[in-house]
Amino acid sequence: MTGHAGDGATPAVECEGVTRRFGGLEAVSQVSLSLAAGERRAIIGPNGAGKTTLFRLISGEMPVTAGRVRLFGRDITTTPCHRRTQLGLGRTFQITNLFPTLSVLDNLVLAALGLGRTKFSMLRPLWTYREPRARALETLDTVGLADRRDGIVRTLSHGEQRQIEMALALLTRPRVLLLDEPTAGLSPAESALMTRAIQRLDRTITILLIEHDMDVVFDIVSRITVLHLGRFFAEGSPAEVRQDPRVQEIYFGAGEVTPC
Amino acid sequence: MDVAATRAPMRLVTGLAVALAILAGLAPVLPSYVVILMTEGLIYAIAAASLDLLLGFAGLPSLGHSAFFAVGAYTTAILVTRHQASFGAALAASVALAAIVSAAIALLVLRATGIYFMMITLAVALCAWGLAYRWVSLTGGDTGIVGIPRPRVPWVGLASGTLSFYYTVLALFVGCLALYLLLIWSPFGKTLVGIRDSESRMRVLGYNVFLHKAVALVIAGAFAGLAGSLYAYYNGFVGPSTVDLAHSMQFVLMVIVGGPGTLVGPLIGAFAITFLEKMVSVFTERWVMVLAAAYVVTALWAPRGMLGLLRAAR
Ligand SMILES: Nc1ncnc2c1ncn2[C@@H]1O[C@H](COP(=O)(O)OP(=O)(O)O)[C@@H](O)[C@H]1O
Ligand SMILES: [Mg+2]
Repeated sequence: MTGHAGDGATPAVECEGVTRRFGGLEAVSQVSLSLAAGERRAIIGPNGAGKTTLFRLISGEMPVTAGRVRLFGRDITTTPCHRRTQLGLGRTFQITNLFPTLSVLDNLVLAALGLGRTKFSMLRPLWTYREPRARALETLDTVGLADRRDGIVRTLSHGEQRQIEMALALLTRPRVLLLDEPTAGLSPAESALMTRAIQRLDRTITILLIEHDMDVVFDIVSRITVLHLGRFFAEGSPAEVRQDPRVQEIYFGAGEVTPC
Repeated sequence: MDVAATRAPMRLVTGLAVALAILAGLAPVLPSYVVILMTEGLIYAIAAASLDLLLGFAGLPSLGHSAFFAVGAYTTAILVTRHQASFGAALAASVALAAIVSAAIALLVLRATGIYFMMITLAVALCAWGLAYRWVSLTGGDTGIVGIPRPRVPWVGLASGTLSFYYTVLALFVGCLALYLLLIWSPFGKTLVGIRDSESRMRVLGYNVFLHKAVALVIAGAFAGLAGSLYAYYNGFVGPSTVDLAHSMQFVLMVIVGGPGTLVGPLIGAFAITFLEKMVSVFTERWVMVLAAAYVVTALWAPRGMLGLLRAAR
């Protein structure tokens, strides 16, 4: 876990000229980005700036059109998504992406199975395996959903589903965690709880956070990268970025009322 | 070990054991044409349940399942009539060949998802029919392969009688059922449901979704091959009509009418449709129309199949 984190010179995540084209649209254009191990960084930018697409390129859900992606110095540009997860890359989704027909516990058990060999076993019922179940229950406790373990995920509230979204990512034991608007659609109270939960995560986990709520961003990260129209636009501390008139302009220019 | 988690499976096993006891105990007192139909029902139940692994569990809407049934049926027909293969050898070869063909086809069809997956698997079913029809030297073309004798079964001898063949099929059915249950309860079975619910989430959790789907296709293909092999023995004749598109649709319908993703539903669906076909054909030639009507009724009023209806009624 700390083997790489101790090597301060190697960035945890490195994007070099990363580009993604959709037909005529360049959704992500020549973005370069470097995160030190253990760093907590936010990515902001108006809707359509290419933030989610950049996450997909880093996580391998989508191939890059050009550029390179490195994880702890290792080139993963063409590594398939599931292998990147095994290399320590975790991610949550902006639009809740769970297993809606399964129980909360089964959702977490599937997450706990993802990294091991047990997932291929066909010889014994799942409920006879102790380890994934124990890890799932433990995580269920930490996100405070222990009493909902047998509920079918489809029937849970949006707030509860956002918590499971986070729990699934944590069960993959990420060293780098990509969080795509974790507070999307949450009430102010729920949002505050989510922020606390992220703050309390293991400090060795490198976090890249997409978030619109500047209060959340301030509480979690030390640096912000601004994207606009798919391009790198600005970078700095939260205070610098908030005061940057150019940043205010792109937000208001895009018709969005955000306090940054 | 989670004791609470075993409750539903235990109920299911109890229910299945009762149903199997009835199927086994009733046969000697039933008229032989009913036993013959029950034999056919069991064979189709093996095939329908294997399709349910894809359609209901993994969310892979395959319309090409008759192709693997065809591989099993023709393999057995050819080996038995031309090479005097034993029952065990014919079964094993049918299963193995269906699995191999299924693996090769998986590489092709898994490039597509959703409606495109349906179209490609449909094309696979059509190819199987086309080969059966045109590859005359191997398949006998339109004439098919006739004169497949009943199998010689260990401990039983020649299962030529209606009852002895029925019990042979029933025994294999029980074996398949046990394997199906093991599969859907296993970690691997759960990963298929995960893929059905969200492929993108599975990938991000570290699953090689393609591999899991391919393994599911191979397993389902192997079981369909076994069903096809038994069908060849049952019917005594294998021809293009055994493997036409209507057959593929019939498998899909058995799953949908019974209740996809339930395993038991498709077993019931297979029996229901087998009996319905025979009853309807007394009155009309238009079986396909009746099938279509059954599909429309299910889609409109019982989207979760007969098992869904039963559960709702409770
Ligand atoms: N799969 C796709 N196909 C075509 N266009 C896409 C696709 N995904 C995103 N886009 C486009 O790329 C741009 C950036 O989208 P996205 O990365 O979701 O923005 P953000 O997350 O910053 O709001 C948008 O204009 C969007 O319409
Ligand atoms: Mg987005």
